[in-house]
Amino acid sequence: VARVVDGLSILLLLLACAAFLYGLRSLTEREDLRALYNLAIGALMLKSAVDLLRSRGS
Amino acid sequence: VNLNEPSASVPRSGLVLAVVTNPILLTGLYAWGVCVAPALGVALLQLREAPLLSRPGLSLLAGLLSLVALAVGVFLERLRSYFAPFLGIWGFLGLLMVCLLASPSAIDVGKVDPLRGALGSGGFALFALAWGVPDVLRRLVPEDDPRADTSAPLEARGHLSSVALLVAAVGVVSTMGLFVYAWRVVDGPRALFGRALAGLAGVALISVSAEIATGRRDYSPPSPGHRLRRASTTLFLVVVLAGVGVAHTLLQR
Repeated sequence: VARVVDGLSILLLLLACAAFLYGLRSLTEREDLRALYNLAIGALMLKSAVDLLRSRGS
Repeated sequence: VNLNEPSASVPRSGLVLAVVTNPILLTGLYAWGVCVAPALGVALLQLREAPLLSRPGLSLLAGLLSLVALAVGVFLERLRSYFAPFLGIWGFLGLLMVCLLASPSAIDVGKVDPLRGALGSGGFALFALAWGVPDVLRRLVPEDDPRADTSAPLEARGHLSSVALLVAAVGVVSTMGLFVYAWRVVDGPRALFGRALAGLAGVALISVSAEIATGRRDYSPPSPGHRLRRASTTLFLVVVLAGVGVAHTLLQR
C-alpha cells in the first residue's frame, strides 16, 4: 500500500506539471479563466503530493 | 597565485584590483546599469520640476545608495565579513526595489522593453551566480573563511534510485516548458502575469519534485493511512475542483 501512495504522490506531481503547462498555454491563448483554473488545481495537486509524502515529524 | 598564502597578506593594490575585477561587482554593476540606470535618468528629469523630497528624489537616493551597498558588500566579502551578504545582496536588492517602486513611470508595464528586460534578467541571474563562484576561481583560500568546516567530508548514506532522478528531471523539464510558454505571452500585463506565474510555479515544481525524489527514501515513513489522512483535505479539494471543471466542460458542449 505504501508503494501505491508513493505512486499517487508521483502521479499528482505529473498532473500538477501538466496543469501548470496547460494553464500557461491557456494564458497565451488569452483564456484567462481556464489558465487560473489550471494553475489553482495544479497548486492543489502539488500540495497534495507533498502532504502524501511528509514524514511523521514534519 | 599561491593558494596557501593567507589572504590577509595580499598587498593593498592587489586587494583593490581583486575588488575591481570581482565578478559580484561586475555583474551587479551590469544589472544595475541595464535595469536601474534608465529609472534614475527618468528620476533626474522629473527632479527638475519636483522638490528634492519627493518620489523622484527618493528614487535617485535609493538608486545611488544601492551602488554604495554593492561596493561595500563586495569589499566586506573580500574580508570574509559575516555582514557581506546582508549589504551586498539584501541591501543592494532592497534599495533597487525602493528606487524602482519610487519611479512608477520607469516600470510601467506598457513601456517595458523586452530586450532590456531579458538582458536585465540575465544580469541578475549572473549576479546571483557570482555570489556562488567557487573560492578557488576568486583566488581566495576557502579555509580562511571563519565559517569554514575543515572536518572530513561527509559520506553519502546511499544513492538515489533511477525513479528519483526521473521525478527530479520531470520537475526541471516541466519548469523549462513553463518558461517557454510564459515567453510566448505577448500582450503587456498578461505577459508580466504569465512570467511571474511561471517563476512561482517553476520554483514550486522543482522544490516538490526534489522533495518527492529524495523523500521516498525516508527511513521512518509514516503509515499509508496516516499519509492519506494528512492529504485528505487537499485531495478532496482537488477532486471537487476537477469535478467542477469536468461539469463545466460537459455543460459547454
